[in-house]
Amino acid sequence: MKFIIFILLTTSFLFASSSGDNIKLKILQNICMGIKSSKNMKVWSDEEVVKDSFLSFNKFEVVSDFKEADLIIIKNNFASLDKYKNKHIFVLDYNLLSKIPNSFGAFFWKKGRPNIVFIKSRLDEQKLQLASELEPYIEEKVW
Amino acid sequence: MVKKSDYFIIALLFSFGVFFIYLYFYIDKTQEDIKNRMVQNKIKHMSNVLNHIGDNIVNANDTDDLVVFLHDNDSLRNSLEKQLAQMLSKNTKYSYFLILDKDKKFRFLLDGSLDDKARFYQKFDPLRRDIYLRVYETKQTEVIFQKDMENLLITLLYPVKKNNDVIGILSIDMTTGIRNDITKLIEPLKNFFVVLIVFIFLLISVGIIQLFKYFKAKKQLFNDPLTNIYNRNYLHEIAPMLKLSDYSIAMLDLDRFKMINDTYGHKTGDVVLQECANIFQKNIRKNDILIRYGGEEFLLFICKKGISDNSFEICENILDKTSKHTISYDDNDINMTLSIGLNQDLAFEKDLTEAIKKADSMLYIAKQRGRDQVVKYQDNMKNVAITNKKGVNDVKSALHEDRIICHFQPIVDAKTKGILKYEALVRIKAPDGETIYPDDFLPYIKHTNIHYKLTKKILEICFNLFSKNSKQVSINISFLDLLNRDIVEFISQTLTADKSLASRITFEILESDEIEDTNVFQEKIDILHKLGAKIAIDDFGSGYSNFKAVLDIRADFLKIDGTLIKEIDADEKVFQVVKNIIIFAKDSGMRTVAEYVCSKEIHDRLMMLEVDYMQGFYLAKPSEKLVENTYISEV
Repeated sequence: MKFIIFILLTTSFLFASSSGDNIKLKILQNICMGIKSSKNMKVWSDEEVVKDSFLSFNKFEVVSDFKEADLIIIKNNFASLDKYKNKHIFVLDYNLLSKIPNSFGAFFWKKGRPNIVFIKSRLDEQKLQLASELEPYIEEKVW
Repeated sequence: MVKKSDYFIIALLFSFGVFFIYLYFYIDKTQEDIKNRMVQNKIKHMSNVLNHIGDNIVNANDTDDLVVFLHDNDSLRNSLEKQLAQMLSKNTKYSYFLILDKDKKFRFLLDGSLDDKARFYQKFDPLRRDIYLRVYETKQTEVIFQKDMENLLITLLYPVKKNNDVIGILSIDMTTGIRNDITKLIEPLKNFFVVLIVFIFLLISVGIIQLFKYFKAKKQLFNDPLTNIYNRNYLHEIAPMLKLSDYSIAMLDLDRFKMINDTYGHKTGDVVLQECANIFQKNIRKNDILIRYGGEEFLLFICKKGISDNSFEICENILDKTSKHTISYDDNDINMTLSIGLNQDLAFEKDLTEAIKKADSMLYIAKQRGRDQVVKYQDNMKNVAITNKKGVNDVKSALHEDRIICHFQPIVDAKTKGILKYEALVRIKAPDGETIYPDDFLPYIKHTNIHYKLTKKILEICFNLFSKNSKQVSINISFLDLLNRDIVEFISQTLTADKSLASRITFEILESDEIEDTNVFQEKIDILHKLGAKIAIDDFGSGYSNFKAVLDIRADFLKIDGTLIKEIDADEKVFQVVKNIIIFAKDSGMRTVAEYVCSKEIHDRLMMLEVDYMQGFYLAKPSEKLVENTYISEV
């Protein structure tokens, strides 16, 4: 709950002070920081701004080829992703959760509000653990 | 001149400016108020519709599990979503139905939105979650005014109740369109006020600039640039506001100032005026008003409001400080003296003009008494004939504008009919060109400082004209004029320098003049005799005809009074009087002059009496130029 309040407060603050992209990136960074991992993760995104925003984090290494990445953050689907079932895919559109079966979570705007969803079965399947603050966002399935 | 109404208009504009600024800020408040009212109306209207939709949801569900019921009933869901969609408009973006699940997560059950449509049972993370939860607790409609959300202005949360329990929330998101509409509506009004305020402040600025210019111009208008004290314009400005009883008036005049100008030059004269004005200024108080009244004349209003009247002491102090001060300029050390006429008791004066006139009369007396002194009005009331201000002003203006002229009337030798000499008769050329005769101004300036200035001017004109020819001239001069040191000095200097001129001058002294001190009078006549000038007793027979006094002064001519001459042909007694005057004159060695010879009859009778000289319209009229022939000589 604290995390939710934190995120919401951050959101509120950022709404007042930053542009929409910045808000999205800050929330996204907070979400990714909440994903537990023993080693540094290699990150790739189809959005340049997302990649740039991860450059300053030690925990993440931004890679230029998605094939090298551990964590893929995407806004648009592309067919070849199906072949890479061992990759962790985080989507920026709720609908992509259905379209990409191995995507474990999503961050998106619903009715003008930031929304976060993690799919429990996929987290388990990919052996991903989340910080306790993110647990309230875990869903049983994609509706 | 800035009038009271101008100040009023500026104050009014300023008030309007302040009012419109207030109004401008009040519009913001009004705008907010209008927005709130519009929102409240919309909420009220929507609540009615939502109430209807809520009823439909509740009534359609006859099971305990609404989620399952709606999940399984696509057509009902579509129908309810269509109803929600009907609420959408330009300013209403989203309409949806949420429920709170057992994990306290909000989930979409219905979504009538056209954009960003949620899936059935999709989780929803609302901002201000606490308010959503409060709807469940209070079972009341809640309104969230979104401050930090892009495009969304208001969220309306309407509880859908079954058996008095909230089973879900119908939520409507309204966009900022309402606010924009109101802003658009109010904007022209705000702009109008901005333009109005700017315009009013421009007007005020112009007004203030004009006011500033006015005060600057006023200072220039009312200040004498040479002495940096007030000038006469200031007197006109303050005259209506002056309470005479609060002041004494002193007329200050620098003694022999003309001599300073003539001897040291005008530049030195200016320095003298500056330094003297400075001395005066230093020795008066804040409430006193010093005005440069004329060339070397100053008017001092000495305030005595609420304090004892020490105006005489102030005047004496000024007199003392002026005489002790040495003015050094251009290697010359000059010591000035001052004469002051003081009028202390203004409470009973008719007006300011009268009060100044009395002070001026006192100044005249101060000059007569030998200068360098203060003369108070109280001491001399019996001596002062209060004069007509218009007459004084007319002569003053004429002196200032050089409109004093002399006409000359020949005095004819009765035997030869040739012109012996001319009598100078003063005239004023009016600004409109008309000639003003002495009867219209001389009586009014008697006992004023102006009188001796006029006499001096006449002397200047005559001395100047007759020094350039060889003709003789008679000049009228009063005993009082002879008491004036300036005049006597001027006569002495001029006639000593030009002996020929002196021998051709006759000073005509009125027999009727009030000669208080015959010794002084004799002394003055002796001076004129010594200079080589001749003396004539004017208007003999009109006064007390003090034969002894006439003999004492050893006059050269005896002018028989015109009132006797004009009766000579009609009244035998008058004829006898004139006859005896002529005999007395001849026996005393004086030559006789008969004036007022206006007809042949008078002329003939005077011839019979063997008068020496004649003067009058029958012989020749006075003229600006020196005529060479009389009417008789022409015949």
